[in-house]
Amino acid sequence: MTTRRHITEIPDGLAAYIKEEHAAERDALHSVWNLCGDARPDYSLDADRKAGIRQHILAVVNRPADRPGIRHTLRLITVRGYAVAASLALLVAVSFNLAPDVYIVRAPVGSGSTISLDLPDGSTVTLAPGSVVSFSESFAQTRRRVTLKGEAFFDVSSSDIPFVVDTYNARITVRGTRFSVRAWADDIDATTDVRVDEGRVSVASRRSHDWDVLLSAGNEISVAGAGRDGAESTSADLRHAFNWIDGGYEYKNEPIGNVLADLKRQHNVLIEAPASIMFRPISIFNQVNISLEEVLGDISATVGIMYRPISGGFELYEK
Amino acid sequence: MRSITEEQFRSWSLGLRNSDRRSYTALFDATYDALHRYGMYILQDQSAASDILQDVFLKLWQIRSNIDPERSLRALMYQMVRNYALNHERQRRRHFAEELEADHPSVGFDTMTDERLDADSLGKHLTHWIEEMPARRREAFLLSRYEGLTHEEIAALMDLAPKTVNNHIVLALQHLRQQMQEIEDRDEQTP
Repeated sequence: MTTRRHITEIPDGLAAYIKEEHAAERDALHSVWNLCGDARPDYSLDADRKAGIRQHILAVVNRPADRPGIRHTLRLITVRGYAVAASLALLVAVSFNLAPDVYIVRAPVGSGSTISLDLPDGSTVTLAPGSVVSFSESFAQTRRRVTLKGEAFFDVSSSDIPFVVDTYNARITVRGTRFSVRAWADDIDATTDVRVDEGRVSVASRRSHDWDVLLSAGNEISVAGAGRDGAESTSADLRHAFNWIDGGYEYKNEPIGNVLADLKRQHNVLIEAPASIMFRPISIFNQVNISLEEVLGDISATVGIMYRPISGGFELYEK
Repeated sequence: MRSITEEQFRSWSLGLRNSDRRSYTALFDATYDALHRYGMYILQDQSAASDILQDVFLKLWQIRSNIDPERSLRALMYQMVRNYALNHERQRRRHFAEELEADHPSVGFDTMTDERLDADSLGKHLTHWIEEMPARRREAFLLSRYEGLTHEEIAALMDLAPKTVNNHIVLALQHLRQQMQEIEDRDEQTP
C-alpha cells in the first residue's frame, strides 16, 4: 500500500467515551483527533532499501533448494570445543512459530579455554570463556550480522554480503578477513577493541554517525564507551594479540580489574582485589596456557603486589 | 492495508500455501509500506524496521504451508511484525542497555517550546508529542489514528482488552490536548 489514508472518523469505542464527556471536553478531544490528521510522524521508508529487500527475498524464494518444511537448524553450525566440547553451553532460543529464531551461542565460564563455531557461511568464530555471540536464522541468506558480548576472533569467508559484528557501542564491517573484537561493556574504562590480523576492517561507532575508520592488517583501534571522541587508531605490534585463542594472554596498559575479570570467566573462581589494584594498569603477556596461580604470580611480580588463597578463590593485596 | 479486502488476503493465503511466488510478490508489494510504518511505530528506527520486515517476509515464506486461509493473513502479518519488533527491542536492551539511553535522549525539543503555537509549528509539536508517548500508548494511538485499525483489532494485536485500547487512545488525546494548552497558556503570558 503506497498511499496514505487520512482517517477522519473517530472509532466507535472512542466516540462512545467522548459522548459521555462534557461538551467542552468532547469538542477538545474531537479537535485534537482532527488536528492529528496532519501530524503523522514522518516514517517514510528508504525506497532503495525496500527494493533491496524485495530482490533478496525473491532470490531466496526462487532458490531451488528452498522447499516447504526445510528449516535452518543447528546442524548448520558445527561447534568445535577445545577440550570442553562436552560441557559446551549451547543455548538456542527458538520462540513460538511466528517469532524470529535467534541462535545464541555462549562459551562456558570456567572451562579455561575457548570454543569455536562454524557459521552457515563458512566463517569461523572463536569465543573466549563467557562470551556470547548471537545471530538470526536468516544469517547468510541476505545478510551476515552477529552481535557479540565479550571477546572473539573472526575468520570471515569472502562474500559480496558484508559481515557485520555489532557490539554494545561499535559496528565492525568486513567482507572477508581475520580480526579479533573485545567488547565487555562492564570492563573498567570499557572499550570495543578491534585488532586486524589479515585484510581490512571498517569500524564505526554505534552511537555517532560522524566517523568510521578503515583498519588494515597489523592495526588496532579502541572505540571508547562514550563512542564519540574516544576512537584512536595505532599501528600495533600484534604478535601476541591473539595469544588468548590458545590459552595465553596479552594485556597492554590494561587495568588489572579487567585482567581479573577475564581470569574469573576462564576459571569461574572468586578473585578479589582493592580498588587501588583494580585500576592499576599492567602490561603482560604469555604465549602458553598456564595455571591460574601462575598467572596471578606473574601479575603480582609485575606490579609488586601479593596474592593468597581465600574461600572460593584468591585475593590480591598490597604488600 | 485497510483498503485491501480480506478476500484478497485470503487469496494470497491460498497462493502461499501452494508456494505461488506471484502471490508472495503481490503480498509484499501491497503490504510492505504499511508494515514498515508499523515497525517504525514500535522501533522508531528506519534500519531496524527494514531488517525486521526482511525477516518477517522470509519467515512468512518458510511457514507458508502452515498458513490457514480461514484466519486473517492481515492480522498474522501485523502480529509477526510486532513479535519481531519486540524481540529486536529485547535484544537491544539486553546487549546495549547503555546505548538505549543515548538513542533516546530526553533533550532536544526545548527550543521548539519557545515558538508560538501557530499552524506551521502545531503539526511539528503534535508529531513530537506523539513520538514521545509511552511505547504502548503510542502504538495503540498510531494504529487507530493513522492505520484505521479498530479497537478490537488493536486489542487482539497487542493482547489487550478493547477497553484498555480505548484508554490508551483517550490518554493519548488528553495528553496532546494538555500539551497544546500549556503552550497556549504560555503564549498568552508572553507580551
